[in-house]
Amino acid sequence: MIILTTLKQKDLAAVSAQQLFDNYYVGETKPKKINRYEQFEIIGHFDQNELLEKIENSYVFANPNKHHLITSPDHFNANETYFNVCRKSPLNLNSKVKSLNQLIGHGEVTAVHSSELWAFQIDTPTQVDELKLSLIESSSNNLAPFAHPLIHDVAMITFEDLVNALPKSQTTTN
Amino acid sequence: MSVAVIQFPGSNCENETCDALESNQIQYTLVPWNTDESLDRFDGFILPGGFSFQDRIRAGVIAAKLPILDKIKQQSEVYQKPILGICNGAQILVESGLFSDQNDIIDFNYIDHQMVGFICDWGFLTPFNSKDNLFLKSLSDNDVLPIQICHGEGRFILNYSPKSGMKYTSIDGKSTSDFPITPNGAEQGIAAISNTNGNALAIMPHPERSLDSKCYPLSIRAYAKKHNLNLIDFKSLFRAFEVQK
Repeated sequence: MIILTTLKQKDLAAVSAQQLFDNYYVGETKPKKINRYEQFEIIGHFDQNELLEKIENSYVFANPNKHHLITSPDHFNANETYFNVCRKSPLNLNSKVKSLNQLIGHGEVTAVHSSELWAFQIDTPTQVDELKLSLIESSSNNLAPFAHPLIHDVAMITFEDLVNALPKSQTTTN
Repeated sequence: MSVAVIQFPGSNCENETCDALESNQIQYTLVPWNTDESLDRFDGFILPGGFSFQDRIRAGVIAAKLPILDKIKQQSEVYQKPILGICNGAQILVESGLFSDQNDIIDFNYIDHQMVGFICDWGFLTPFNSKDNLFLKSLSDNDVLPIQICHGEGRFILNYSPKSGMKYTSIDGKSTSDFPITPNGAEQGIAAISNTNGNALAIMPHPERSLDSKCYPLSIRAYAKKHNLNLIDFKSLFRAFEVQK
């Protein structure tokens, strides 16, 4: 099961990245808007609906005063291009695994893998590989700050795939 | 001789860095990250520690993409001026590609599949191939230097062997990449790396806080005295700017 969170106020990592591109980027694929989401993949054997309800009523992933907890596609739109940046050795959040196992009545959560999802609004249609090279993967001759080739893997995610991956995709898209 | 200490938003070790220069009678100027002025008038550069741009996205990466880093890289490539990056400054230099064009990174402290978080402690470093780096030249490869460690992201990951640099060691001079001698899981136990030309050094622990044996913890001083060990301080690292003049 995949859920995401994002800050209710402006995410300063996204703001810094946006400023970097606004001030120094020379190229056609300059992103108009950048958003950052934290993505959590919850792995184990459990009742998805039960766990989701418990998560929504807890502070395990999101403080409702500060974060949006995203379980449906409402925050996303088809105009954006999405990239998931995850560590080559998955970042497993043990404290969240413990918290979730205390919450659920049946089953077991075995891992919670954390990664980042970056959303870009780009006007010019561009090849995915070109976007990765110019915007995402850092090198000494580009401005891309989001992933380092030694420690991160990058995957482009289409809007449709993202919508389908979210637990409440069926109820909200129908 | 005038050294530019580059101040980024979030730098917080510039005062002790300036003190370290002052104690070696080296003139310095604090230079803001967004300066338009040419860097030609400076004879060397230090990027101090701290949290540039709050370490957003990844420690040092935003600062590394700013025009001032292109200027510093130019000063390194064209004039081989001495460049020292300490802690967050080291992360900025590594992220900028000054050392090996993205074949290295300074990552989370990470040991045996566990992130160990922030480390604030004393440790020991020993140089390797010291003659190949301007800052390490006056040291010999068997020297042991006590140093303050203060970082949450400090683990060097490299897919090459650096020409010169420093490794974590025990107080008796035995190097290993195992915990606790290498406290952060750095590959090959590396704590500092040199660039190919030998004019730049990126060091994760804090030499500017380890200049004088009086600031070493009592336990280190007592052990050294009891075992008749000759511990070396980091003054010579900063004197490299003066020698280069």
